[in-house]
This record gives sequence, structure tokens and C-alpha cells, in this order.
Amino acid sequence: MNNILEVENLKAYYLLKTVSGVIAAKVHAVDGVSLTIKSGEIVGIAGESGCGKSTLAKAMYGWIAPPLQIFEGSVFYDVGDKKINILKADEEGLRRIWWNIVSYIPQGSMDVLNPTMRIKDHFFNVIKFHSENFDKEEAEKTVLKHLDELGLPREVLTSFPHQLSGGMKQRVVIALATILGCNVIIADEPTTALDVMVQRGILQLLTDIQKKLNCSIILITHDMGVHAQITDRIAIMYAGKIVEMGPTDRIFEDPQQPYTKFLISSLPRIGDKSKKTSIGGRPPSLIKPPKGCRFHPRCPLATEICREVEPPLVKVNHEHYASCHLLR
Amino acid sequence: MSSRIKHYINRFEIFLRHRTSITISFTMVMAILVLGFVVSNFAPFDPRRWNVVPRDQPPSQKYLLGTTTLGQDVFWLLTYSIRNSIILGVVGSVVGLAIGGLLGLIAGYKGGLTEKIILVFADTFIVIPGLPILILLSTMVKKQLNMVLLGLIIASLTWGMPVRNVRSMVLSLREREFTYTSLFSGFKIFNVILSEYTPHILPWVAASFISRINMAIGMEVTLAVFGLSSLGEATLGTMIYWALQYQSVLRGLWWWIFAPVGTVVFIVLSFYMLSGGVAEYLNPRTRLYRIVTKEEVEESE
Amino acid sequence: MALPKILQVKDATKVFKIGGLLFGTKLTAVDHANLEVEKEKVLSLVGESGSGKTTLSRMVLGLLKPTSGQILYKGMNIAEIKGRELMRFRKEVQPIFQNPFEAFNPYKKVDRYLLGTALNYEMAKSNKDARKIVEDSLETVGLSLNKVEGRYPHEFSGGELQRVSIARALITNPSMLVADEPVSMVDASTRMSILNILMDLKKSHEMSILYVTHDLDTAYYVSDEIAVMCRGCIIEYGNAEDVLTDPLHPYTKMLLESLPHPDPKLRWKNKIKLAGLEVKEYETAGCKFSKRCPFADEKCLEERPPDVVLKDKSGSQRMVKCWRYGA
Repeated sequence: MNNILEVENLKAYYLLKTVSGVIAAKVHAVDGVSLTIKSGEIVGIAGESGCGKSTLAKAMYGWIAPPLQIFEGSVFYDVGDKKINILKADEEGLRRIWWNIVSYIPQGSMDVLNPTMRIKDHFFNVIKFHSENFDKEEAEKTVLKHLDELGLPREVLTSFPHQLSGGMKQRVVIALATILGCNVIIADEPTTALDVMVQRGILQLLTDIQKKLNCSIILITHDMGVHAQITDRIAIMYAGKIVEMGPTDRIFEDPQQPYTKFLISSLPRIGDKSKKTSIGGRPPSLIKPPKGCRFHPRCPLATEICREVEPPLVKVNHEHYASCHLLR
Repeated sequence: MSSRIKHYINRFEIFLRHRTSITISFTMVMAILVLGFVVSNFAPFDPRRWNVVPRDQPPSQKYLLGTTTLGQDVFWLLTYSIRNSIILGVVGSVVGLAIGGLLGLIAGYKGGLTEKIILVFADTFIVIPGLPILILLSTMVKKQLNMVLLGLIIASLTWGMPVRNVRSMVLSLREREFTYTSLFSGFKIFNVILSEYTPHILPWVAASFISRINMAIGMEVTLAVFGLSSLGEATLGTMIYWALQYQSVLRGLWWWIFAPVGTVVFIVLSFYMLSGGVAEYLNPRTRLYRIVTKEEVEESE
Repeated sequence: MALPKILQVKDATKVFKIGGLLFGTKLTAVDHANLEVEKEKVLSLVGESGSGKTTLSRMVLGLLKPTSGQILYKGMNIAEIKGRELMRFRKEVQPIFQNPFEAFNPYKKVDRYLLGTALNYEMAKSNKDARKIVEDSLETVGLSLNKVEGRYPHEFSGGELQRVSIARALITNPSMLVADEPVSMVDASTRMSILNILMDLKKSHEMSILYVTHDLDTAYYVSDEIAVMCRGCIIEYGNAEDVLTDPLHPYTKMLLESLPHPDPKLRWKNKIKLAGLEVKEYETAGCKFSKRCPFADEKCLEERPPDVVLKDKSGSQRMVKCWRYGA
């Protein structure tokens, strides 16, 4: 198993400017994140709103547009004969990577479908844009085969987006994302706003695709239950940094970082009548993150050193890393 | 107290600098208003009187915009015309907007039979072609036609559209959860509409007010060209009428026709730009970020 | 000894007309619903999107009128009250909405609603007294007036603003709260503290709560009783602990099975089949779940199942709307 994607010390910030162009604030959305994804694995990125995971997704996909800017770091994709840094790639490189190596399913993606086009035209557009010659018959065959493999009804092709339910639209978007085959799928909150049963169907679809294409999936969601169900590894993000990372069952059985511990223990479960508590306070401002450990203002175990020095990511176990001063 | 004033002045400055188009158009509008309402008071004689100055003079140092065949000074006549046209434009715009807006609020909130009755009337007036009625009305009251009356006539024909616009805004606001919160906080419906809906409707009202001024001025010009405006009064429309009557174009008296036409274009352009800028500035999405936080107020004090 | 019933929903139905005069269709959002809320109890109304739970909660608040059937608050028919009685009703029944940023007017400071509630319902006669009452209310939810005063909604986080919402609802000392998905837009790490606040109100303020949600885990945590809705019908109703640990209706079972348990050892084993076109499910003459139900037979597809009442293992009453349990 080789590394299909390598993120090295990525720093991506949003620059907020005033009317006259003066830089008013720098939002440290992704502040020094390193991550490697192997081929064929499902990695989850967990964290709450404002922790930077959506920005990380965009950066990994190479979708950098103002006010987002890359300040440091790289994102390397293994394209077979070499590794390309998507953040520095030219148009040729991007065309090679996008949709062929990596696909992106953005948040709220049910709304990315063009309401004036039929679904089959969506597919044809994607194929046309990413291949040299476009043969309508060939394309139609490919699309039908793809839909059959994913268990989607053929009637979907002649429908308009508004005729489909939310769950069906999401499945269509996933089919669109994988029509040209790919090595990595980045899915940003693919099941938020969907009902529980539809969510299960979508996650089922993703795992089926993963088995068929043997691709990797980077699943970004705040829902820990979803992570527990389908991911192999999880990275927990807080205030722009990864605070814990490791195999899914290790993270749930033996979380090391106080934030992770709280997150998991605060989840209500049927059958569990014990009183649950929340962490006090709110996530820190990413414009002026707290000194030292970013979690220290809310952490009940914080000590002097937590307030001054940022804890590094240390190895706790095989493949399990966490950043907390109390681990030494 | 003075800090409050400073605060408002500060906010106004932010508005002016929000977009270059706002700064420019605001300056243009101020220029027009100054010409019409300040400068016009300094006219050395009544610009409407005939044969006060030598006829058909091209623009010079003595007669800034030349003179007409009737012996009038074009520049001073223009200042009076601007004033009158603006008065009639504002009356037409405000009265129509107030009536239509109020009826729209009532229709939107009350619903039921009241709404249907109001809509029937409003739709009738929307559908009636304005110009023929305007021509008819002005022929009937031709003798007593002054600026305010002309403005009211225009208002009476254009109040229909605001009813529909305001009503649809109220309809959508009525379903929003903050309306329910207000009701459950014990506020009465009237209070909710006045206090809570106004900030949401304000962008449209401000933009509509300004663009309706354009519309009213345009209607008057059209009437005047037909000879149906108050021809003894000095308005931009009547200036054009008289200039056409005396064949100013054919006779080469370009300054006489160019002054009112150019001014109308200038006014329409500047008001249009300003209304666009105002609407964009008051757009809810950008406006929320500019709502002053408590800290900013404390800091400025 | 059963405590008196605060709320009774009797055969309530709500039909919406969609589309124009000529080609419109009808959508039955709530279909003959029956439920009761007792004093100092929490009843969860659970269902997916399109189940009718929000419509039903709006009817309970008096914001929508039922097409047929009755909703009685302390014996009064909500659809018929006006004027002074309406003010009294709103004093005693207060809402909490899903999106706190929508629940407040973004152009208004939040203290307008807090002080307004105190003064409009005559909980206080002067501004000074109103401030005292608001301060007490905010303390209940873990906030204070000087942190909240003079601020606009966008200056708060979702969790904080939702607490303000709850504080506002508590000012009139209501007997019932109707909370529509109060924590679904709040971060997971602060969710539980808000739910704990709601639960504590049962005893401290003698409050009943109608808790509307799609999240079965939080419903389990807070409720005494639960009603499960599917496409407008209440298909299972009973003691929360019993219904969620021992579900009878196939829909409830499938719903529970589809929950993503935050435990990697409890992963889904079977595959699920997703619904086709949803609109068709609303208009069936038979059971609303029959098209997806693994146990459905012809009778289920054609005839609406009755409300079958059974006794639970724990002795409490259970209602199941399913042909498998009744003739």
C-alpha cells in the first residue's frame, strides 16, 4: 500500500480585507496540518463547525480562491509516474488530477446540480470536459454501466434535479464524482441534512464504491457515529490543527486527547441513561488563537505548560498520535 | 450627544466610500440639488419672463448657457427648471410610494378579503396605461396645473406597483421564525410590522424612492413634449417644449435644447447610479457585517 | 395516579393545497394524529423530514389551524382562541425554534425580545423590574445580562443564542415548551448542556415539553414518552425507554437499526433499500410505510392499519399502527 496523498505542514488562511484593501484579519483555518492517505483506505476528518475541516478539504482538492490563500505547505498526489503538488500545479497538471485522480463532493452538494439540465447532460458535460475525444454513444454506455454498478435506477438520467429527492440527488452527485474512476474521493459532509435511513444508504454507496474502485475516501463530518461506522482511521481537528489521529477502533476505545475524550463521552446513546455533560465555552477565535495548546481555555485538566507551549503530536501507540502535554 | 452625531457622520462616510459609484453619483446628485435649490435663489430676475435679455445669444461669459428666442437666460431658467422638476419628481415618488407601501403592508399582513380588495384596485392601476390617462387628466386640469398637482397626478397612476412589491416582501417575512418569536414575546402585529419588518424593506424602499423620481421626471418631460404640461412654468420638460416650438435645432440654437436634455440625462444617470449603490449598500448580506458592535460604540466614545 | 393532561391532540389532520387553482394537488401533512402530554413530562415527537412533526408542532403553537380534529390546551380549543385568551395562551405555551439565527431578527438586538417578553406579558411593571426578571432567566441557562445586553444575534455562537432563546421562553413561566429540533444546529460538544437545561426544567419549573426531533439518541436522553411519525401518521406511541429499546413497528425498528452508532464494534450488518419517489408514499390508502416494509402484504398496501393498543413489558400502554399486531 503506497501513499496516494501527502499533506505536509499545510497552512491555509483566509485574509479579510477592508474596503480600502487593508488586511483586517487573518483567519488561521488550517494551521500546520500534516496527513498521509494510503490507497484503499477510508479516512475520516472529524471536528465541529469552525475547526477548519472544510478548508482542509478545499485545500486538499486544490480549490484555492481568494480570500483563501496558502501560506505554507504542500499537497502531493501520486499520479503514477511522479508526485504532483496540486497547490502549485499548472492547468495541465490540474486537468490530469481533477476527476481522474481525485474527486470532490462539496458540502450541500445536492444543490450543485444545474436545475435546467437533465441528469444525463450533467454526466456528458463531466466526461466531455475531462477527456480528449467525446463519443456520445461511448459515454452513454459508460454512464449506464456506472449507474448499474452503483444501484441507481436508469430513469434518473432523463430526470431534472427538482424531480429527485434529496437522497437521490446526493447519490447522483456521488455517481458524477466517480464516473471517470478515481483514486481519492474527498466528501465534505455528504450526509448532513439527510434522514437517518437515507444517510445509511449513502454511506453504503460510498463503501461499495470504495470496494469496486479500490480508491481512498476522505470523509469529512462532525458526526462521530458516521465515522465509527465506515472509517478505518480518524483525524480529529480542533481550531485548525489535528489534535489526535489513529485507527478508528483505537480512537473510540482509548481516546488520548481531552477534547476527543469529551467529544466521544458526550454522545447520547440509546440504552445509556447516564447524565452527559458538555465542554464549557466555545471554540476559540481563529483570528487570534490562544497561546499554547488551543484547547486549554476549555480543558479542565489544563496546567501551566498547556497555557504557554503548544503540544506536539506524539506517538501514543502504533499509528495512534495525539497532542497533549499530559501524555508525557 | 455629540458622540452620537459623530457616529452617524462616521457611518455616512462609510456609506459614501463603500463604492466609487456611490461617491460619484452622490456628488452629481448634490450638484443638481445645489443648482436647483441654492443657486436658483440668486437669479437676478424671474427667468420665466420674456425679453429680459437679448435673444438667441450663444453661451458666453455674460450668458453662461446662452439665451432663448424668447429673451430668457438659459442658465437661470435651467436652475428654476431643475428645482421644479425635482419637486414634482419627489412629490410623485413619495406620495405614490407611501400610499402603495402602506396598502401593501396592510394587504400582506391581513390577508383574506382585505387583501383581495386592495389587490384588485392595485392591479387595475398597474395595468392602466399611464400615459393616455396622464394626457387626459392634464388636459382637464390644464389651467390650475402646478408642480405639486402634477406630482400628485403622477403618484395617482404609479401607486399600484409598490403595493405588490411590499405585499410580497411582507408575505415572506410573515413566515419567518422571528415573526413568531415576536408574537410570542407579546408584541402586537402593528409593532412587528413597523419595528421588525422596516429594516428588511428599507433597501427596496430607498432604491424605489430614487428610481421613482426618475420615472416621474420622465413622465413630465413626455407630457411637456406633447404640450400638455404646465407650459407657463419652468420645468425641464417645458424648456424642451419651447426649444422645439421655436425650432432651436434647425436654427442652430443648440444651447437651448442641449441644456435641458443634457440635464435630464445627467439627473437620470446620477439618480440611477445612486439608487443602485444604495440598494447594494443596504443589501442584508453586506449590511449585517457593518452593524456596529457594542465595543465599537464604546471605543468611539 | 395520572397527572392532569396539559395537551390533547384529538384526530388532528392538516391538508395543504399545493399548486394553482386548476392543477393543484393536496398534501396530507398530518393524518389523524392523536397524542397527549402530561404535566411535568417530556414527549418526543420523532420522525424523518416530511413526517409532519414540524407541522404538528406549529398546530400546537396555534400558528397553523388544523383542517379537522382538535388540539386542546388545558381543555381549550387552540384554534378558537382570540384576543385576551390568545395572550394568555402564548404566555403559557412558548416555542423554541431550530435555527436560533432565524428565531431572532438579525437587525434587532436580542434584549428587545427578552425585555419585551417581560413587559408585554406584565411580568414586570417597570424597566428595572424587567431587567431583574431577564437576569434571573438568563442565569437559569448559564448566561448573564451584561454579556447579552446590546448585542445582535450574529455576535453570538449557535449554542449561546439558543440559550438566549430558551431564556426568553422561560420569562413568562410557561407550563409547556414546544421545542422544534432545539439542538440540531448546535455543535455536538455543547448540545448536551442545552438538553440538560431542558430536562432540569421539568422539576424546577413544573414544565411539560413537546420535543420535536429526528435524532433518536437525544430523544432517548430527554423523554418520558415518545411518538414516532411516518408521513403524517403516528405509527408508534408509548413509554420512551420501552419504544426505543423494544420497538414493535417495523418502521421504528428500521429507524433504530439505521442509526450510526458511535461504536466501531457495532457496525451495520445488512444492506438497506432506499425509497423511490416519496410523494407516492403520502397518498397511499394503506399503511404509509408499506412500500418499504419487509413484512408488508396486500392488506397493508390497501387498508390503513388501526391504532392497536397493547401493554408493554413494563406495564405501560403502547400504541402501534400496524396490521401485524391487530386484526
